[in-house]
Amino acid sequence: MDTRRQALLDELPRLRRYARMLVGDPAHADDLVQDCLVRAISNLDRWQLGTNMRAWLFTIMRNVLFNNLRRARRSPFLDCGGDAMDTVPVAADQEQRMRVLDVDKAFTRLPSAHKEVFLLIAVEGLDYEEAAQVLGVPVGTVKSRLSRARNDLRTSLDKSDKPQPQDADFAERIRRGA
Amino acid sequence: MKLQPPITDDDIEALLSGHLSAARRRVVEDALDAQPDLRRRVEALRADQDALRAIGADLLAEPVPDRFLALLDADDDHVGRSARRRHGT
Repeated sequence: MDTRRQALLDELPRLRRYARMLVGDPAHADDLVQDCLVRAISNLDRWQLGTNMRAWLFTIMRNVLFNNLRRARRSPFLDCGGDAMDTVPVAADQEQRMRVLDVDKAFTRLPSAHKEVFLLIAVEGLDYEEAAQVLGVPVGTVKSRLSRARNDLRTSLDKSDKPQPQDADFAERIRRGA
Repeated sequence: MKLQPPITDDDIEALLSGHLSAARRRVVEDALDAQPDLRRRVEALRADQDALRAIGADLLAEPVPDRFLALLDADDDHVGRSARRRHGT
């Protein structure tokens, strides 16, 4: 197997996880991997040696997903509903597991554009320039979105650690028929 | 003492992402030593990031399904048949 093919093979587990994080459902995710692979293999000679294969594959996967969604007139990217945890297993002790569940739930509520940048850099290890290329936005936008995403996630978790008075307000408004 | 630019959101962001230069990292670490509240905040953000990385970590250890490997092999056959014959495979 040549260098390019080997580089692609090495990224397959990451590509599967990325797909799972994007669309949630495991079968749908692997279909996405399949479509992405077909396209990547037929364009493999366009991948430049020495550049990040992972970033290249993620770009292709994103294009494939957008095209599929456009064709199916489906809801926007990443808004698959539910928690990623419904389908993504996790290895951890009980306490860490609860933490991960909380973070997962809060993460799901972030805007799609913020989730994407968070995944690409904080989880998949792309640098700012690579993430900017995958997403087709300036580096400055990547940085500000990521910073915002981290802070919003933390704010959301801080809130869920405490009793939520807004729930009582909400119940009160319902009672009043507002 | 040499004046350093103040710590920004981008510094904190780069520290967490691991993209901060070694020199700037020392400056930021010093600032965090001097500001326990900021230090606690950064550690909380780091813990969130660790939890996020744990989501789907199992998936990375799963064997790659045969159908994906077959795709790579099939293409190998298609474009690399003559090369493989040369190598006697």
